[in-house]
Amino acid sequence: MFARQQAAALMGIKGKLDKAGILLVAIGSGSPEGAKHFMDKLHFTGEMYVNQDLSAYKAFKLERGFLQTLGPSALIRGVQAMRKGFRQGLTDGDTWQQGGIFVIGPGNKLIFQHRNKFAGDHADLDAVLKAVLG
Amino acid sequence: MTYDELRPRIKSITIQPFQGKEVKLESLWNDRRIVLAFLRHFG
Repeated sequence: MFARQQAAALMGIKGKLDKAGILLVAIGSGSPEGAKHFMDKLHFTGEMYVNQDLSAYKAFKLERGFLQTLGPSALIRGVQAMRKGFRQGLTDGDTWQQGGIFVIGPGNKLIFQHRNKFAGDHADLDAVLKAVLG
Repeated sequence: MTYDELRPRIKSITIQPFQGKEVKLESLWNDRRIVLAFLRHFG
């Protein structure tokens, strides 16, 4: 559900990213087949990769755990997401792994970083755009 | 986290496109700026 919400939000800024020549890339923890299904269902048109051993998530020091997934803050965000019409479908990937957003490149430039502290703790995309277009 | 801290952590990591061969993670932004979104599980 939160991945759907995040993907939908990212598609909302993709036009601005395209105009600025910035590529939108997503990494998921599920299977390649799950990624394809997710892209089709969400009309996600960025590049999509999978990282089932979570090595990239670990390298970027992203959160993972029970409380981050099912703690009070996550549950509140879950209710808010459901009120906006997002629903949980069949899951594919690591249940406990949290996400994040980074603006990075070219080369060794790490311009923006946001690590979700809990499920649904998504980055402010206005801040992402500001970092990108800066 | 600075890029200098990140670099050794990502050096050997590859990721898989939803179709096609694995690519080095760092190659995604070698010559371009990207917005990189790590998603929770699909679904």
